[in-house]
Amino acid sequence: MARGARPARGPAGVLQAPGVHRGDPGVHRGARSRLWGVRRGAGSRSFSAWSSACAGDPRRRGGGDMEVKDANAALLSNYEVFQLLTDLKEQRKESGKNKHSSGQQNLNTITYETLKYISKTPCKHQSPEIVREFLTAMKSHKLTKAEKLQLLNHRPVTAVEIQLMVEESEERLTEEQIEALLHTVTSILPAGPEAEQQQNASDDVAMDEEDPA
Amino acid sequence: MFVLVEMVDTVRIPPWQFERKLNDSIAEELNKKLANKVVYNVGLCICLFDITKLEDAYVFPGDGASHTKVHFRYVVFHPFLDEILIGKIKGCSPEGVHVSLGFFDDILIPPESLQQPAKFDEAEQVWVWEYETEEGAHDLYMDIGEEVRFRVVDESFVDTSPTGPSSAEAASSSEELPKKEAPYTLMASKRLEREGSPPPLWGAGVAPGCSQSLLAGCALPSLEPHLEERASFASCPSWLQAER
Repeated sequence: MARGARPARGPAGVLQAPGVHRGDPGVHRGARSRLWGVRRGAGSRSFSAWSSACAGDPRRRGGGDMEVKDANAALLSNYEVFQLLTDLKEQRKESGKNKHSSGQQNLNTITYETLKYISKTPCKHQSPEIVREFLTAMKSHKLTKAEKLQLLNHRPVTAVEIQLMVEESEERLTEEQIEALLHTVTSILPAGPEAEQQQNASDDVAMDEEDPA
Repeated sequence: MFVLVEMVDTVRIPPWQFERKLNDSIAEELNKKLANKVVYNVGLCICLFDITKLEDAYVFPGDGASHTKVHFRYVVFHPFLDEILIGKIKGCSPEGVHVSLGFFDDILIPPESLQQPAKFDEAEQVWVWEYETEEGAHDLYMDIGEEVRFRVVDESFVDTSPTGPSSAEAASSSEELPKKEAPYTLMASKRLEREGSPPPLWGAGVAPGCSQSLLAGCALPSLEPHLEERASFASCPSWLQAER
């Protein structure tokens, strides 16, 4: 079976021990009554009909499959994910021993790689106050949620970058508005680690140029 | 880049973990099941965001473990269409440029989506963008490790659940391993202009710290003399816009 081994509790378990199901989990009650329904009218029905009836609908069985209720409940900014993963890392470091069990290896890998990726972006230095300030400042520019998110994640510094991220920017924003937007973005959002490096490098170059003078 | 996905699942806690707090055990189990895995039509799962609701836990006959239905939210990597992302070139092949984000590797920029004109250099196995300027053509190589900015154009999910033995298996020999398909692939484009608008002038995009790679990240040692060119390009956008 594609889903792999399941604990040996299947439909048979549900039938044999109805007393186990207290409370009102919709799925369990539904499954039981459906199976009982089949049984009651099952005078002439064969065992195979009953077993195929209960095996047919995986959602009605004991625990059921994993179900995705909403594949797009909310958009997360890179900073939020960075914060979450850093907190998770702290928590796991404190709790100590079980990080290296084979089951946790996947979580370790993905956490490490994602943190490494986000640390190279400007999102590393953001904070909830900065994000709030940014969103308040963005209200006047009338941008969609996706555009604001991209501006927050990338921190564009040139007009070209703004044109890429904002749809139909030529029609919606005039040059002054683009300049104003750039100014808001660069003033509110902190620069990334790369930009800092470049800044240091260009400072060194400037200092060297002054020396012969 | 990241979205929150609400899911429901039944988590099985074995009896030897009953002494731990239920929430912690469930969080660990969910992470063990989903972290770094691709869920079909959803995306690459990163980590658990929070547990919204815990229903009653049941113990079934024949199995001493408890089964709890959990409603939770998970952080999933699922970029939206037309999102701009920054990644590193992992390699080039005739199929296109393979880009990686570190935690996600299956991003492909097909040749048609590269800035034209582009050609594949067989000797070095890299894609080259032949950039025309007044001074002449410059070949900008897409080397491995260079940072590139790209736009997500398409995504494809492949259901990689194992299938049963097929009758065709007798035909294929045992030496042939089944082709491993990536469960989640992104198609990207380096033509970052939107439909109908003229391409932005790349030189203008090159500012200190800007990772619009081809000019900034190019590993050509002769890049330094081109620095003067960058300064002149920076004045171009207004010229371009005036033309429109």
